[in-house]
Amino acid sequence: MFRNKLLFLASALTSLLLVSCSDDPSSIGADLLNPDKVDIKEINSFDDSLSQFSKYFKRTIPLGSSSRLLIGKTDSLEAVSLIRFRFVSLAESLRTAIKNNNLTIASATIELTQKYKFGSTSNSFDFSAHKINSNWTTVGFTADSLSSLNYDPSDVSSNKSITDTLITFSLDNQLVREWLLAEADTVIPIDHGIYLKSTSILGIRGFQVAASNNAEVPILKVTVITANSDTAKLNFISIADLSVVTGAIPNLSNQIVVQSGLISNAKLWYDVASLPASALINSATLTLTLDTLMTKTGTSFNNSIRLGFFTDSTNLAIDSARTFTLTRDGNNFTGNITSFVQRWINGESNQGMLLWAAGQLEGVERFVFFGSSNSDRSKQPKLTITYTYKKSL
Amino acid sequence: MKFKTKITFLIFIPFLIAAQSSTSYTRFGIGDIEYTFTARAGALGNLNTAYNDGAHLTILNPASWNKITRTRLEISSKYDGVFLSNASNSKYFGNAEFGGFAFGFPVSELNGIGAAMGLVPYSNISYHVKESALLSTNEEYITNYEGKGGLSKFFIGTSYRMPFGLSIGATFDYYFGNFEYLSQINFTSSNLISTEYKKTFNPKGIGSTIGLISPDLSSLLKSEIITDLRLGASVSIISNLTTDTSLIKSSSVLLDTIGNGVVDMKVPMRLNLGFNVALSHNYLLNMDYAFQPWSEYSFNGIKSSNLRDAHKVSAGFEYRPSKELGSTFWEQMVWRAGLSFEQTQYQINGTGINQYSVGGGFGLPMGSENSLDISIQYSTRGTTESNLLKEDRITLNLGFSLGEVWFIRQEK
Repeated sequence: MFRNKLLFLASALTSLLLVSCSDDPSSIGADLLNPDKVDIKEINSFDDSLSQFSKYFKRTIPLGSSSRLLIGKTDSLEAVSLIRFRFVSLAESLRTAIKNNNLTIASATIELTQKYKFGSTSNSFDFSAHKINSNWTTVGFTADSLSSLNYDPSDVSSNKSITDTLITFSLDNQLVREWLLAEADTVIPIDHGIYLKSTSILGIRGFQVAASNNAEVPILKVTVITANSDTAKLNFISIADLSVVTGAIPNLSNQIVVQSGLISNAKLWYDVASLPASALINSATLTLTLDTLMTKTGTSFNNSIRLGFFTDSTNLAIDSARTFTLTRDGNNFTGNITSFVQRWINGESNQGMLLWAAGQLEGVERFVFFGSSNSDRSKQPKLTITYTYKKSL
Repeated sequence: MKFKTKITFLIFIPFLIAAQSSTSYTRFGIGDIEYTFTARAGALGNLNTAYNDGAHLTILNPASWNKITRTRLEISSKYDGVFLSNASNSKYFGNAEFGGFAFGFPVSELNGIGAAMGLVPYSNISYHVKESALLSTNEEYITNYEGKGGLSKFFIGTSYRMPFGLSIGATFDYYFGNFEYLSQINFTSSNLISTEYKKTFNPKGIGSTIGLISPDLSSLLKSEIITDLRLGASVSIISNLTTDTSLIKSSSVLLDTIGNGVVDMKVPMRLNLGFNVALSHNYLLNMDYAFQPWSEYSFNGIKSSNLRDAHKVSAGFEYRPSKELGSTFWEQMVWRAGLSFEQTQYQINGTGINQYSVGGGFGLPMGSENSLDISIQYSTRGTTESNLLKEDRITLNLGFSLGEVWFIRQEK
């Protein structure tokens, strides 16, 4: 019995010992594996002359989902904003009082929290506020819609206080009374809010409009006096707000202009047909070189460019499930587009990439990059590809 | 735990600890050919076509099952240790694997009718090669080449002994397999994604092995020393194997089939010839020859320039001090030795790869019909010249041969 146990243990241990003695795999025998040989190749659009093409174009995209309101003017841009406040929290007693004309508006003040400056960074800034008479919504309202917006020419703002972080101004009490009445009595014409526009070319300012706890969003503070001479202080936050930016995008033949606010997007295309269809992309890196003289940015912005895979460049349709980001490093914006190149190699239609500013709804930054036709090839967009290929299939 | 259970567990250990040997020669054709699977055959030169004793099951010649008197199970596992060398380097690789099993039982001892079935490897592909290099950016990448799998055979067959002593046997064979050839590139930098090409072949098809063993011819020699003399022959025929193929490329951003299809794989027939001679009942000598024309191998109609006809000759010697009941443990121990020369099917870049083997082993008795067989074999093949490989291989084989009386008709 003891002999059997000893034999069993010795055999088991010997098996384990022998297998564990193996060396790590080495290159011995690699010369015999020609049928399976793979290799790596590195190419780039500068040294290997991959054909490329770029262009940019203006787009009309609503800014209603932006987290900022833009107001101001530069020599080439103008930003205006529309705000409507929410009065659903108005107490029933006050609703009755306003309907019975038993409520007096003692004061009405709007506070806007400043988060962004573009152009002049001084505190000098002026604007006017106007009652809006026509309907608007945050969905689909663009610069094209602005011409049909009806508003009173008279300025309903006064007592402006402008600091680096906060702008406050008084609003015409009668206008606020109309809004409260419209909330209390549905027969009364509805409230369409106010229209804010700059009155001087002193740069563009951005104000917080969206926050998780509603902090720092535009607020209307109203003081009312009831028939019993009781005073009540009411706060109303905005229910709808949006900005519209108008102006002109510079016409540059050898550059790519990607702009926020007054939105300009770009298309960039590379010919990768020279890569073998069986190739596997290990890395594809796109680098754009910034034209710093033409680029203009504000005080707080997203310093990156987004890239989308064009599924239909004619209708500017991209695969929204897979986008990439080019991040800034000095005067270059660089990012990985491996899956884009792999998809083109694999036979998906190569209609190029769509480029847009990552914060294109939040400000009016203008990123200008040297384009595909720039005479200095070293400044053209550069695509660097590392790929694996099988020597024989 | 009973001793038999322990042994069975031991045989299955390779499933748990299997590593991979690195033999790039197995990239060609269907890999290394497994002639037999038992530890006994491993000690006797790996063939033994004319074996005609019911103490073990062999798979080379189904006619040998005519002597089965007990229900038998043969099961084995093996360990391969390979010192692999090229002109500048040498490494050691180990690989443990399940050897296969065969199960047989007598149907009619009087007529030599035995039946057997089993699952055994027919070929083996096993290599793993790594190369490292640098990109122009000085980032390191490792290229992995890995091959694994092989062709297996399930067989079921029977034997019959004719009145004048000639035994014949035949099997129906079903061949199936999975060959995987991987080519991978991995990076140490996370900026580059790893890539892989995987080529897979799944052959399947049928075949048959037909064998015969002569009657005892010892009387022709009129020698008292020669107590048994037999000639044996068998031939294995394989139909064209229908092979599903696929080539897949993949990375973390892609999984794509480059190509797939169904093609024919032609594996040539194999002829085995041998003779066994028993001397004074205690000594057994066998000499064998096997031939397989691998020059006829083709895949999708294309022959391989790296394959040639394979020839193998072997000789084995077995000594058993006593077969009598009541003998001591040591008297019942079986001692074996063998050697072989093989002109393998590999012919790489015009250089043929030949193999020389020598081995030995013993069978430990575990009752009257059971044995634990252990063999060790050293073989060498190849050369370090012409960018080829030299292999020095140690093969340890552990087999369990179990015989019991089953299917006994009860007297009324």
